[in-house]
This record gives sequence, C-alpha cells and structure tokens, in this order.
Amino acid sequence: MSRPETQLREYFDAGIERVSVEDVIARARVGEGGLRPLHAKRNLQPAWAAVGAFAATLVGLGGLASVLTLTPRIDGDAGAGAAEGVEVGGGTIGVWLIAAAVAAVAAGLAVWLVRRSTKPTENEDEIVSDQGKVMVMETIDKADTEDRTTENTEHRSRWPIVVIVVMAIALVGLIAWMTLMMRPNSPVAAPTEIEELMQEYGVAWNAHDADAIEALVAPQYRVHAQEGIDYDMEGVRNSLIGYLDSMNWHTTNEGPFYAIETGAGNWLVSSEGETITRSGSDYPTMDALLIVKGPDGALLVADHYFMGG
Amino acid sequence: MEPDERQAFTRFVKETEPRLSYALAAAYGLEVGAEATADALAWAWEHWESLEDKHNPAGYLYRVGQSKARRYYRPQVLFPVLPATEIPTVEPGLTDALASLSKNQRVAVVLIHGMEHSEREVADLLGISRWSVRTHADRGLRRIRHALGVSADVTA
Repeated sequence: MSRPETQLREYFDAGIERVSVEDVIARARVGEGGLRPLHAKRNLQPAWAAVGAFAATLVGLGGLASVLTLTPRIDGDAGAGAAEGVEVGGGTIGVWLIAAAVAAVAAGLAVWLVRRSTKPTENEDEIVSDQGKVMVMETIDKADTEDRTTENTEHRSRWPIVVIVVMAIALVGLIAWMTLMMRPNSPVAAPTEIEELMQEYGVAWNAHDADAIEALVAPQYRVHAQEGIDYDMEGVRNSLIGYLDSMNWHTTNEGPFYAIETGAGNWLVSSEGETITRSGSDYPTMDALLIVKGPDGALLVADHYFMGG
Repeated sequence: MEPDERQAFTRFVKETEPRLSYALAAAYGLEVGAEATADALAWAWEHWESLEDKHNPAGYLYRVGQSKARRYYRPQVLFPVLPATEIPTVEPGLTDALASLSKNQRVAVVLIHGMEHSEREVADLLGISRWSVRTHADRGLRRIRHALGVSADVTA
C-alpha cells in the first residue's frame, strides 16, 4: 500500500478536470452570450417555492386588504349623485391561510414537476464542446429503441404542463375570488331615482303627511325604531303621524347618503342628519332604508329603520 | 482585454488554477469542483481589472468558487471511485475516507499532504490562520490513515 499522501495526489491528478486559459475565456464568452449548462445547475427547490408562494400570497392579500381598507371614504352630498359603500369585507385570516396554502402547494408542485421533467436521465450526458458551449446529448443504447426515446420525450413534456396549467388556472380563480370577496362596494353613483325618492320621502315625513309617505312606500312597508317600535303604514297613519305632529318633529336627515345595491335592483340606503323636536332639542340620527323595485319598476321604501333618533 | 492584461491573466491562471481546482474539488467533489473552478476563473476573466488589485486574489477567487459551487446540485457521491486501471495504487476506501472529512479538512489535507502546498498558501486560500490549516491537515490525514488502516508511513 502506498502512502495516503501519494494516493491523494494520484486520485486527484487522475480525477480532476483541469481548466486551461482557453477554457476559461470560452466559458466567460458563453456566459456573456447567456448560454449556461442545462442540467447541472441547481434550480429553485420546491420547498422554497412553496414557502415563497405562501408568504407572497399572505403578504399580497394582506396588503390588498390593507390598501382597500385604508382607502379614504368619499362622501357625497345629498343630491350630488354621489353614493358609496363603506363596508369592506377583507375576508378572514383563515381564508387567507387557505389561499396561501393552495398557492404554496401549487408552486411547490409546479417547481417539482418542472425539475422532474428537466432532470437529466441516465442516458443523457453533458458534453462541453471546444467552444465551451454546453450541449445535452441523449445516448441511445440500442439502434432499435427509437420508439422508446420518442415515448420518453413525450411523457416528460406533456402531463406536467397540463397539471401546471390546471393548477395555475385554479390559483388565478382563487385569487380572483379572494379579490372579489375583499373588494369593497366600490363607490358608485346612486341612481337619480334614489336621490329623488329620498328627498321626497324626507319632505313627506317632515310634512307629517301620511298620504305622501304611502305614495312612496311598498305594500310591505314597515318603520322600525328602538324600544320595539314597529309600525306598518296603517300604524304610521293612525299613531305615529299624530305623535310626530304633537312633537313638532322634523328631520334634517338629508344626507350624505350611502347607497349599496344589494341585487335585483334593490338598494340599502343610509343617511345621517339631525332630528329636531318642539323642545328645541336636536340630536344626531341615522336612518337606514331598504328600497325595493315595485311592480311598475318604480323604487319604493320597504323598510325604514330609525337609529339614534 | 489588452494583450498585456491577457498575458497577466494567463500567468495568473497558470499559477492559481492548480491550487484552486484541487481546493474546490476537495471541497465540493470532483464534478462540482471542476465546474466551480471554471466558473470562478471565468469570473476572474470578466472582472480582471478589479481582481488584479485584490490583496489576495487567489483567496478571493476561492470564495467566488464557493459561491458558484452552491449553484450546482450536490452530487450524492463527492468522490467517485475511479477505474483501478487509472490509479492502481489508490485504495478503494480512500474516497469514503475523504468524504467523511469536513470541507476544510479535505482541502487542507489534499493541498498540503497531497499536493505539497505550503500552509501559508492554503491559509491564504481558505482565509484562515496557518495554525488552523495545520490542525485541519493533520486531523484529516490522521482520519484517512485510520480509515485505510495505515498506522505508520509506508513505502511511497
């Protein structure tokens, strides 16, 4: 047995591929040209891709929610045609985590599939040409294995892409859904009919005119207030109007209005203002009205909630 | 690059490449070591002006090679068993013994005991003290001897 030192020298002398100046210059030029070895380089690890996607999704959704929540409210004066929604859903952290987990799995799987489909097989060898360009050649063991080679190529090039595309579509859909969930009811101009209805409705109430009120409300109309007050139109006519008359009640509840379309042409409208009585006291009030579309298409008040008045 | 610079670079490669290639091969295995060496020297070609001014260009380039090596897959076998026809006197257990050493031990033992570089050269390359290099080299050689069942110097 020779000395270990000698063995070390012999082993490395035989095993090391030495690099000449020409090799170096050639490789540098290949690098400048953007050509790099295809397979030997380490790529993104699936685990890191999953972690990155998880973090990016959480940060992205959180950032989006923050931006939407912090968007300053746009007030619109009554009659100015401006209305807005102020409610921002934002989703919950649980939903965010689900989305982040899905993104992480999708990213990890995608990277894993890409790596798997681009890893060299046992038959592939890297060959460095004299120009330093790295090529991949596939050695075919037998001359009659053309079918096998073709089959392998097809196998590696199709289904990972299909899976990746499906996952990407699912992810995009999920993100779109999340965005929709978090989207505030964007400020929209309330229809002119709503503004007119609100103005006429306010005037009718201040006039304590039950007929005028009835003309603007739906058959199922009810008025709700604190302490169990709940009147239908008949109750308003027979009890509430008389009481308001005795109180010399009127309201400045003329806006701003906040209108949210709840679907099927129905609107939920709230407004701020003050209620003034004969004693001279006034106090802030808020009203919420559910406005529905009547049989003839006209907008009518279906429910009226007094709050704070 | 000007002809003078090219000559200087050629001299630098001839002086540095052996130490660098053996060090990176010992550290990261034969395959990755060769790629990292070529990458590091290619980097040197591209950044020759700045490298020339370095106090310890070989050591700097070794660190460049370390960075380049991380971009490659770590092979399952760092030191493959070479055909006995090429190296008839090398024991089969040498590769496993080498792989069992720490990275710095491998570099130190290969460069100092295998290639007979000085401790100072290796210390400059690795960026550690001569005493550390000596310790790594001695411990590495002791472990290789132990693994190969060599208790005393044998014939060369």
